[in-house]
Amino acid sequence: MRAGVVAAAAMCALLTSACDRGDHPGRIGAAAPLFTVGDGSQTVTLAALRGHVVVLNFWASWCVPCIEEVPSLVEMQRRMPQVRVVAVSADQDPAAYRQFLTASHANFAAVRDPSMRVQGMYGTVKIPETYVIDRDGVLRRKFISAQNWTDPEILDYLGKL
Amino acid sequence: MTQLDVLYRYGAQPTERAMLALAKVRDVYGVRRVEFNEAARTVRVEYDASRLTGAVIYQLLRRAGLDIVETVSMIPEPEDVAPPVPVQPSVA
Repeated sequence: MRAGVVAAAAMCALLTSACDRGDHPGRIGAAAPLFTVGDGSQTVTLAALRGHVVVLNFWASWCVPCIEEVPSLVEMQRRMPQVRVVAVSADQDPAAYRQFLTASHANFAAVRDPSMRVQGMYGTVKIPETYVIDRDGVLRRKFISAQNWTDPEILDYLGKL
Repeated sequence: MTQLDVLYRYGAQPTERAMLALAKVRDVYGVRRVEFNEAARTVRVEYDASRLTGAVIYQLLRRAGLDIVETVSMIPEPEDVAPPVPVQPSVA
């Protein structure tokens, strides 16, 4: 009987932990984890962006769905300069990373975080994944998988934050 | 979610660097499983078709350094069946 209860409790704990990969509604509405990340050529400090809407994108240059959404991120950043796009890459290869950024004419803050420390802070285990952080530093929305960042619904949403 | 499988045959054995890159393919949203069969030189990828396409899976594997030579059909070949014997009209 007791073993059964323990097993049930363990199963429950396993199931709940497996479901919380960061997209749990509980994370939305909470303060975005603050970080400073640098790769030698670029440093991003989230706290310094307070007062701006931040679109925090986790990606890598080898990740085909990630790079497919970059042109629309570039276009969204062009249309909405008041929004700060921060792209944190999991790339291990600095040359591939830089080559892609140059080729894609990235007009937003991009930084390489090969240890995936920032990803881990947000509970991100799969990419692409993007968080929208409001002017007060609160996580407002999470997008999983690639998006069209010029979709009117998204532009409207960002414009109203 | 629409789950699909795709099976590719590869030529050259992936290098250690390619294997490391291929392991990362699992970190992409929509990729559910990547299974290698070294004996048959095939890789089977299970993915969420509502997020990814077969073309994206192919590109992910190629960019990781896998030498894909062909897509293998996952529909089993029909077994050879003897043609039906024509029925002879019975003669009373």
